[in-house]
Amino acid sequence: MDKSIVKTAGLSKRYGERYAVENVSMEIRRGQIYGLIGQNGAGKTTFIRMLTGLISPTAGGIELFGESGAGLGRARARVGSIVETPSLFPNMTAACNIETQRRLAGLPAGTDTDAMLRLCGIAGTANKKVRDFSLGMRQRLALAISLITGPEFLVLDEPINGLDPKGIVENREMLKSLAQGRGITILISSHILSELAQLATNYGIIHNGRLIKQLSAEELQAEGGQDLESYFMKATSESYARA
Amino acid sequence: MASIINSDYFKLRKNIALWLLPAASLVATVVTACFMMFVDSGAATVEGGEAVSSMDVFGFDPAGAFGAHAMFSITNLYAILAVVFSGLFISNEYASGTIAGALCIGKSRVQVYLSKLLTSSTMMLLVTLVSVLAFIGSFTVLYGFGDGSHFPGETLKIFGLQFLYHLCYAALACMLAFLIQNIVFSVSVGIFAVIISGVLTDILTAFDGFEVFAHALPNYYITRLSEHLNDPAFITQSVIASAVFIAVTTVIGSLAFSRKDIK
Repeated sequence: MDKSIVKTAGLSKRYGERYAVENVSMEIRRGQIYGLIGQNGAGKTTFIRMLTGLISPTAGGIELFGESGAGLGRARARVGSIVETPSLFPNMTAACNIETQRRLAGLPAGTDTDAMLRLCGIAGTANKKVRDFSLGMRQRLALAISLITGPEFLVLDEPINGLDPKGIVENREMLKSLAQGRGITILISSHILSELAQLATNYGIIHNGRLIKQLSAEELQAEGGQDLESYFMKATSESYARA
Repeated sequence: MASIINSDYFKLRKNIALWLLPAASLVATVVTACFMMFVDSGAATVEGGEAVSSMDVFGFDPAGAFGAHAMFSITNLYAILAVVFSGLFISNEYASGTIAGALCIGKSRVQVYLSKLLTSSTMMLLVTLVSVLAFIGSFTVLYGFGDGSHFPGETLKIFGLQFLYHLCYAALACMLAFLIQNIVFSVSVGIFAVIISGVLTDILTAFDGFEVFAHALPNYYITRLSEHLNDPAFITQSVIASAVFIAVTTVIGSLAFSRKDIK
């Protein structure tokens, strides 16, 4: 079994003269909850969009489950993702949205829709139209849909945006149980550092498109007991100074 | 590919357009048939007092057996329907992020593109079939069935060629929707393309030496088809021109979509 889920080498995305992501080389290993941290506009979503195949890199390479190039399509079938806003059909019910995804993934019939909805904390909403869902409920439904395919790797871009405090706690507990119980590797991007500090096992700090620091939660602890927020502020200030 | 098509057909079954569009075309054909009968009944004589036959008014014998001919009177309406449905179907999926969702689980862009084109084609097949049957039914009720000796051959030809014509615009709308990714803009450009291609055909055929360029446009054939229905060479050219048009728009659209960043 691959130890390395994701490897990028010199990954860059340029728009005109401006680099949205510049020379990012990183590795996410199996079993990690990798927190990708950065301010708004730092390049987190652009990086994730390259990873999920929505935009093509200007330079560099991606290896997913040991596959690259033409094999990335095959590898992405093992990935579940929520990129920015949940991808849902608003005029269909939750059950129909799940069924659509099941068919898209080519899975056999017999998905326990109610169990998926229960797992994500929206039990009893199978026959409710998505347009009547709150943002938090849509996030949860999107997570249920991304779990339908039994992914080994989950990519979540700002998943707690729009969630109430209870929802944030429930989301954190759910992701932890997915990682520990199902062995799912998770990449989660956020600018809410306090939440990532309680969830992630590894961190990558992205600033002005560059990955300026990578460290584990243990290494952060060893950094003189700094919390994630202080470490982040220090790292980005040093980056400004070097620039 | 099968899984994407399976998913798209499931979505289509849940989409109100599956019922709305054929219902609208049914109403449009019945209303058109009744209007044509109204025009016919009011055109009993022309200036000079000579009686005008229904054949002169319609250009065909308005019996049920020839009802499919009436499709030519509202051909561009269906082209616009093809553009609107295909444009809305695809643009809505862009807006809801579901096209992005399919790409994220490793579906290829070409497969996603072709599946949407197939879904649009299925809708247009249904709409064309409903319209042809509705015209045959309406004219049978209004004028009787008439001489059915040429009914199967002519009806099949008209159905097939009309469907191909609608498919041309469904393919064009797919290309525009995938390139433009904006509901209002892509549908507007598509409708404009339907109108302008008709005008362009007329302009090109009006000038010596330019008519050959008009042969590349589906409108050239559909507007002349009723006079050339029994001309195998003309029908063959029409099929080839439509097939080439669909192939070109599909290749351009899928290639452009393959290279496009989904933001």
